[in-house]
Amino acid sequence: MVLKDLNPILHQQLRLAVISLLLQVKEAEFGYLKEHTNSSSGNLSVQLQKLKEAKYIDIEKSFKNNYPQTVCKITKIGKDAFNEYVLNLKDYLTPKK
Amino acid sequence: MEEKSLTPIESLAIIEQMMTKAKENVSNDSFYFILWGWLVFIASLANFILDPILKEDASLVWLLMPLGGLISFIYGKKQNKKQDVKTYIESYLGYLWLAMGFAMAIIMFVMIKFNNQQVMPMFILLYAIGTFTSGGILQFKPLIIGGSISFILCVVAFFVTDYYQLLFIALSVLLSYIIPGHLLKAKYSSHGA
Repeated sequence: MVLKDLNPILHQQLRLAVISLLLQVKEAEFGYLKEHTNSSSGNLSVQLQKLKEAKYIDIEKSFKNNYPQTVCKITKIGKDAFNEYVLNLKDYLTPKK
Repeated sequence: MEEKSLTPIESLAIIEQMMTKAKENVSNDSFYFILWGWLVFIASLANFILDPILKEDASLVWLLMPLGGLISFIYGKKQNKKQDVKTYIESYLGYLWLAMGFAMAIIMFVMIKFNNQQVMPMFILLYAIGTFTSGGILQFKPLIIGGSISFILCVVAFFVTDYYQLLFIALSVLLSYIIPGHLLKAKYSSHGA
């Protein structure tokens, strides 16, 4: 059996964590993602940007109570990519015949 | 988190960990059930007790309801400010109760215009649908049970006079709003959320 390469965009700790979180909620703010992934703001910004470039997430910037607010949402492309990633992951984990 | 190569096992662990974290975040919706439960409970019993004394004017106690609307609105705004995440569950529940609000308004303004005596059983029917469905969405049994009992109360209420229907309203909100609402609150506070 030939193992497929795991999607490099998702096969990274923080990006995978962010996608896993966004998959389960309608939308989440930057602070929520930062807190739940235990990441630094700088690193999180960079990884969110990469996910956005891949069109896996939508990022909306606005203001809430005079503070800048960044709201992230997973896209259809992101969901499909995640599902495929998990399927490929399964191949790695099932004992080879 | 720094850049490093992940093993498939580590990948799975991350996904699993994030799944658990997101689960902890279901918001506490007990506030609305408790607020509306007590408001309707007090209004219906007050109406029942005052009716022999004040006659028609006793129904003025229902003016408490706009107060509930105002409190809900303010509370919702405040919660919105605090929240940094929007879950699907909240969104589903939001639509459900918005539809409930429309249905209640229609019943109140349209049915009363036609002098329909069966407004209260219709309200009990809506309480039953709202709490039963919310219980299903939240996977919270007390709401499902309370909603189920309200369906039965609704049927019986159609066969009593509107004076005694007030007691059915009170019993319905006690079983499908107040008790499940307080149980829901207790469940969340025991989780530290």
